[in-house]
Amino acid sequence: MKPKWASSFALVAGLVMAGGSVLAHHGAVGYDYSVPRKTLKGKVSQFTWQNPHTLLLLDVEDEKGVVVWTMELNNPGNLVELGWTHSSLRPGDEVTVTFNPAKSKPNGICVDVFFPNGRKLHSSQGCVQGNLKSFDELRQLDK
Amino acid sequence: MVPNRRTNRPQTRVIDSAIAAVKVLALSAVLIAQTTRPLGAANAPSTIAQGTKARAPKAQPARPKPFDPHDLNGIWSLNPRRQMAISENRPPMTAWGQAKFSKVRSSWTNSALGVKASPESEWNDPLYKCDPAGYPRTMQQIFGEILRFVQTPTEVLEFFEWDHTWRDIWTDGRKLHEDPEPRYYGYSVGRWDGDIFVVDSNGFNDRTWLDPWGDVHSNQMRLKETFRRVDRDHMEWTITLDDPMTYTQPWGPSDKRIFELVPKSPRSEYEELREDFCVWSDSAGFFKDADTIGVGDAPATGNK
Repeated sequence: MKPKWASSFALVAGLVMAGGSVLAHHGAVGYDYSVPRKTLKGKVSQFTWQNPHTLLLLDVEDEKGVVVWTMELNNPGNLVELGWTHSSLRPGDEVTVTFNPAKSKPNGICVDVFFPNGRKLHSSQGCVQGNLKSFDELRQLDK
Repeated sequence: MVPNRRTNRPQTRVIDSAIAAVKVLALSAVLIAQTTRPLGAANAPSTIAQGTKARAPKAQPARPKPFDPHDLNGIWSLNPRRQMAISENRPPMTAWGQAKFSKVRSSWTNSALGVKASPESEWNDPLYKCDPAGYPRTMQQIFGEILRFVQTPTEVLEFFEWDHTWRDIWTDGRKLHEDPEPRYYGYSVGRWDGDIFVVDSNGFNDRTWLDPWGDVHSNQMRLKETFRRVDRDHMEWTITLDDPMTYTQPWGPSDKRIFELVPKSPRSEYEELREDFCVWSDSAGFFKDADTIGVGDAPATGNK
């Protein structure tokens, strides 16, 4: 039996600009929801508030140096509904993020951003629940 | 011009608005007077029921807020916003319609409409190339379904947040064009039938999908819609499609979709509708640099 939340997940905005020729030139990253969510602390280097998806780039220091992590967030309209504004993050802000990591690149999705003052902002882009292993599985669910 | 119902003489919209405002203020004063009770009255025992337990005062039913059913001005947001087709009882398609529909590669599944999500590499939703959503898709797509009506003496302007665009609904008595220039948002005329605003449209190009699942149409499509403000904060919308080139019968009417009057778009930081453009240069750069698998947005209410 389809879980109750499945229908709500089907009601999503498809703002993916998937021109076939564009996609043919790069491989899909893929996000594996079966691995634990990851938490990192970093400094905002870029917060790109635009369609199709807002991007948050974080400089994260590790033992080798600085790695740039890319968080894929909702489109700006959806983020406003979730309490964000275009100035929620600025370059230089120190934040902690929790997210589902991509399989082989420093990318993240379904992102929670935690500020030093305890404030939290959530991006629902790519969030899945239950037994779904990927967003592709979600798309196969019937409306 | 808006006809004066009593004299059949046209009045300007400005005067109508002023009169309506005065009526609202007067009615509000009456409502306040009627619902205000003296302090302590609720707890005062009934003299008739002396010796028995005082009855709790009867709750006053909420009084409806006054509104003008012919006033559609304002920002309206579908409630709840959701992906929709005209209905799931789609009429049979013609051979032409079937051939066109067979080329659709949707990113979503809807078994009632016979649509299964295709692999991402095959998606061909025109929105994904930043094509205009067009009508009626902008009213059936979850990031659309937010509009602003502005009424003038000769037309109703319907502004759409998605694509930051609009359509003109002419109310000055003109007819639809016999041979219209094909457009993404068509050509529309409107009239009042009692308290229902009826809109007829033609002149659509065939480049848009009707809904997120890829239902198709031709440039012969005609739409009939009804907008009815049922109370101060709610408006019902229905749509019927007639496209004999694509479907063997009319499709619809849809069920009544409820729009809610809102002070601002839920997707905008400000009182204006959001400038919600799809920009191809941003989209192409997104796929090149961010390299995602192209997931759509989860519900805005979040999945915490």
